[in-house]
Amino acid sequence: MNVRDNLLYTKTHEWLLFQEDGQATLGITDYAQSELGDIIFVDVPDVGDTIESEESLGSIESVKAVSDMELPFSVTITEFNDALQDAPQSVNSSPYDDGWIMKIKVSEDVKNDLLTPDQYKELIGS
Amino acid sequence: MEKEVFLHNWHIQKKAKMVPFAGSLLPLQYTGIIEEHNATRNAVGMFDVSHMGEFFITGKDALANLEYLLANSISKLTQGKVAYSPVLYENGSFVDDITAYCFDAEKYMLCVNAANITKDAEWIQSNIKGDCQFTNVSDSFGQIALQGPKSSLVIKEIFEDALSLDYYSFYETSFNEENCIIARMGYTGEEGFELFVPPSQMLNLWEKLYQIGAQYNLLPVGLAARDILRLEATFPLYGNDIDDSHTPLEAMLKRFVSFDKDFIGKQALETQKEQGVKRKFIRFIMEGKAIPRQHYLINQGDTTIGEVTSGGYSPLLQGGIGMGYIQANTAKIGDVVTIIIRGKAVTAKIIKGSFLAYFKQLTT
Repeated sequence: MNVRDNLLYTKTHEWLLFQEDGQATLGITDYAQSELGDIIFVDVPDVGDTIESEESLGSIESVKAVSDMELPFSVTITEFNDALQDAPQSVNSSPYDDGWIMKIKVSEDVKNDLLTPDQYKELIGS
Repeated sequence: MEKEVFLHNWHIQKKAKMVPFAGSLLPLQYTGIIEEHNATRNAVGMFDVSHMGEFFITGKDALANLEYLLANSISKLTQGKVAYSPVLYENGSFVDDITAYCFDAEKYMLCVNAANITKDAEWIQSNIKGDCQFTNVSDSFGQIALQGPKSSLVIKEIFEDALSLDYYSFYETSFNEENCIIARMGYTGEEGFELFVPPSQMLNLWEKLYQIGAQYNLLPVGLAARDILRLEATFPLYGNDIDDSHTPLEAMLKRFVSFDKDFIGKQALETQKEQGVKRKFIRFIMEGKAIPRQHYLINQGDTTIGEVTSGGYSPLLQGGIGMGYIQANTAKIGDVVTIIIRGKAVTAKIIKGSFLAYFKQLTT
């Protein structure tokens, strides 16, 4: 399973890439997409919504099941990857690049609540 | 601890994702659900369904007992024919849904749902009388389903006579000198065969079919694709669509109920027929992109009128499809209802017939 060194991770298999301006890009990991199988629809809230810790940030529908995205802290959604509306399968084929899901604004320093690449590798046993 | 099926090592070798189901560890998927689904619709898929249960009912009074135990007519079954039937409680709800195989008037086989083997065995044994013997032979049979438009090309290489079978018929034959039962039927809506095989020959036969099937693009198919295939064909699944709180009249399975004989549950169904059903079973296609799943609510306007019992993504229709019960005298075929998906009302259209038939109509 591909785990990238420049990202931070959650126990629920999301990845985050922090930018300088307090924004972060969020997606699901290679492990998560592989567990879900063929992804057919990404269902997300509205831009501008603030989502509390452990509330649903949106849902990934695969042929097999539906899975919610969540974070251990509250965030505000600033942008969605609109290309996923027509090509949700990008989350399978390119989970860290074309398959990014949303951009979020994070209110405080939350990096301590996330897993390092090594910790995430340990979690998924790879 | 789940039971390992006869082909366990084969599935593991093929890197199948294994899941516990009705006490057995079964392959959920091998290469991918959509790929496996497409192989079955366009070529041929092979399923290990060894978890299913098999019973023999024998004796001079076998027929009379089955007529009383099963809602469908069994006396009309001739040698070598198969019937689908509800098994009902006195109140008309489902104990199970099964297939019955007539060997002769004193020997029948029943194929039952894996999750219901123990319950069915107890129910049947507590209800049979006279010269009638019950044997649970579930552990003495593996079962392979071969389904898809190319299934006959594969099976004829080993069992040529299988091609002369009618739909819902079977015959006894042998493989490596051991008895097998081959029936022409299935749970996918495609043409196909179900093979009852002794454990000692499961791996041999499976591998031989797999080998022959390679030239026809045969794929092994897991439970996940099997569930979608049966949903597209609108076959009810016990535990989802039918159970001990629904009757065959509500489930649109009246054609499998024979009111011209006596059977357990008849009186309740006659009363229900007289008074009219309070719920009815519908099939619907999503108009929005979201996927309906079991237990989602079905609304008409702001009123909840029912619940989804089976739902998923149809690779054929490339969208969400589902089945469920709604209150009678609310929505009807052609109407638009909404499915409540994560708090949002997503529109869906009620269709007549199966999704498979709907798809074929669209494409011709």
